[in-house]
Amino acid sequence: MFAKLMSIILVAAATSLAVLACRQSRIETINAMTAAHRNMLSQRRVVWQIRCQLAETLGSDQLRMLIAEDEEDWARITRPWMIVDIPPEEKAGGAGRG
Amino acid sequence: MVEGSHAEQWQCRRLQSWATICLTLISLLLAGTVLRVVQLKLHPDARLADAAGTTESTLREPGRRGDLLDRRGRILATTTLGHRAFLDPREVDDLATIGIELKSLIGLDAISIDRALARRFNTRFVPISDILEAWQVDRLKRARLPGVGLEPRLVRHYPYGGVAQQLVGAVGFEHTGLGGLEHALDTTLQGQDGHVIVVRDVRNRILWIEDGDFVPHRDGIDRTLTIDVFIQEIAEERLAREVLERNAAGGRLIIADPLTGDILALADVVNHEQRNRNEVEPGEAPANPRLARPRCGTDPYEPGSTFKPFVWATATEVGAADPEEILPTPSSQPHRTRGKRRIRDVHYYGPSSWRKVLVKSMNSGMAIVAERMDHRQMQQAVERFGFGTRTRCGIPGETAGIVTPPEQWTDYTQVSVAMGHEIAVTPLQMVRAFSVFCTDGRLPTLKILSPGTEHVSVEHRVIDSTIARMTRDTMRSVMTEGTGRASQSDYYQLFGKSGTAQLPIAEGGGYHEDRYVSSFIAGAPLETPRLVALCVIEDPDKRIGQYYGGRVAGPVVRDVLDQSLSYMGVPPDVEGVETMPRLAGSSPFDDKKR
Repeated sequence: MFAKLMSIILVAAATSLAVLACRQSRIETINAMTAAHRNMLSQRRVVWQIRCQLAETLGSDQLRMLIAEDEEDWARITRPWMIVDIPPEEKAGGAGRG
Repeated sequence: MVEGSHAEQWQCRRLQSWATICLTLISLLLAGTVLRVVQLKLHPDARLADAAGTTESTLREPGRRGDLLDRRGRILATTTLGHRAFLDPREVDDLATIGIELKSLIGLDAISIDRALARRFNTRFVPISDILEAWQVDRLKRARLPGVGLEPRLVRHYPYGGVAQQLVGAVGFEHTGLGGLEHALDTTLQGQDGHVIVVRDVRNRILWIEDGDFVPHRDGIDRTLTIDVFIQEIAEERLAREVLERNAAGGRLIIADPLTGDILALADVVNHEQRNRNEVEPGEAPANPRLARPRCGTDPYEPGSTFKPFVWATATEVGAADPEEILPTPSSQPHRTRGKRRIRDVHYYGPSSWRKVLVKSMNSGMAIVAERMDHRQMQQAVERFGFGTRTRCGIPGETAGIVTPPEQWTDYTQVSVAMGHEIAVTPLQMVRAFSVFCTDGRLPTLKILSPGTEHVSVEHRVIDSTIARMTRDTMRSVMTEGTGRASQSDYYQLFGKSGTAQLPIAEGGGYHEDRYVSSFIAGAPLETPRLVALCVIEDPDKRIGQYYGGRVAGPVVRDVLDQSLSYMGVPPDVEGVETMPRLAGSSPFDDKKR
């Protein structure tokens, strides 16, 4: 009888421990996910901030000052409109208008 | 021995019975404890629940407002997350000294804090600052002062400062659009807040999120404008300088791509410092210039002679006059119309060709040909070039201008309209109509927003392509022989038309004798026009110098076209010129001759 009772208690205890371990593992996983989510949100806000700072730093005045300070001669590339504006007639692939 | 053995067995059974009873009791006790824990955890008594407080808290996840970008993706308006400080009076240790403590910590005004506390003493949320700087937020977080909290708030930034400010507009404290495109595009720009309910432990650390307790935020949609920040800056800088130098009441300037209808720059300057001759006090500047209306779309003006090319092209197309036909324009006296109305010219050239009428901007010649056309032809010309209808380009508050309705159209109107009077147009309408001469007769759809899925571009032919080309060539002569000579470019072959109209009297009707609206509209290069620019200078001070459109607004158009075309990489088309206008330097106009 005693042995049976002890066995039952031990099995119940082991099962409880296993269930508790599973639960703890689940909690830790969700906790990690929550932390990751929070971290992601916070990084997202940092990205907003950096975007804004970049835009403020790269204003026309600052770029002009940089160009003026640079001792190297700035030369225009051969076909600048390739990076600025492709003429519509070339976009369409047709000949130029008259 | 048997008796002893019996006694031992009985003793043993007794021990076993007691052990069983004890173990059963212990098991029941443990089971009871476990059940109680479960009950306390899941369904605690109301009093206990109140004392324990909640283990859940709701965190707001703000949806970000969409950015406004220029045509190359440069940020005109963006949103970041800022914080403002607030107090919970119940949690603050010492209300008497908290103001001084915060002053020494992050430099807030102690008196303002005390006043805010006195006003809202019974609440648990007392805002005590505007949006804090990053260092202030850091210090406040590190100090962990009881009862002092940080409320996250969305903050709108305009990285290019005042560039295109009337167009972009502004948002209010609740981050909703109040003016300009911020207001017009509020529905798409506005994000939707989300939230998450987190379960915390006794030390207030976040444990987890239950199923269904996470509602994701939705960010607003970024919108790309057709504006180019660089060209916009060029336009604003040059226009502001002209307005101040001329002591004018204000000025408006539009630069557009006639082929696509994209508006590349839209500048609007109001000189609040101008002391008008009829007013004692100067005009009052608005509290927030971002909330001023974009006048390029809202305020019509009388175009004067800049309207003549449209009538000239239509009259040529309907056969009312041939470009080389010599008209009986007067040599010295004002021309008399059929209704005996006196039409004055600035200079009298004698009988002149229809082409010369436009080149020299002769009112008499326009009146003669206008009388050859019937009313319907003139009305159709006005209508086909898009006057009297909004461009629907996306600028908020746009108006349709003022065109005399057909039932009120008289012979007087016929002659007036031919000279650009008795009609009021917006700068947007003018640029759209002038683009017809750059697109070989097609009226483009102007737009301020880059095309999205909803975009439908409609173009319709207004005049024949040969007539459009002929008008363009004639306007080139305006620049070389006519009223645009002072505005000739050293780099590009401009074609354009000047206009000088008397300023209408605001109340009572009629016109001011010595106050004008000077305007100039031009396109370039001549063969394959890439840009159209219109400048309107309102009420330039006659005491300072010239007030004619070709002298006041013309140089502005020339300079902005030179700079913009150079920036776009369009090679010069003036013969023998190989260098392009210089763009570098603090101001693109520093080395520009005037």
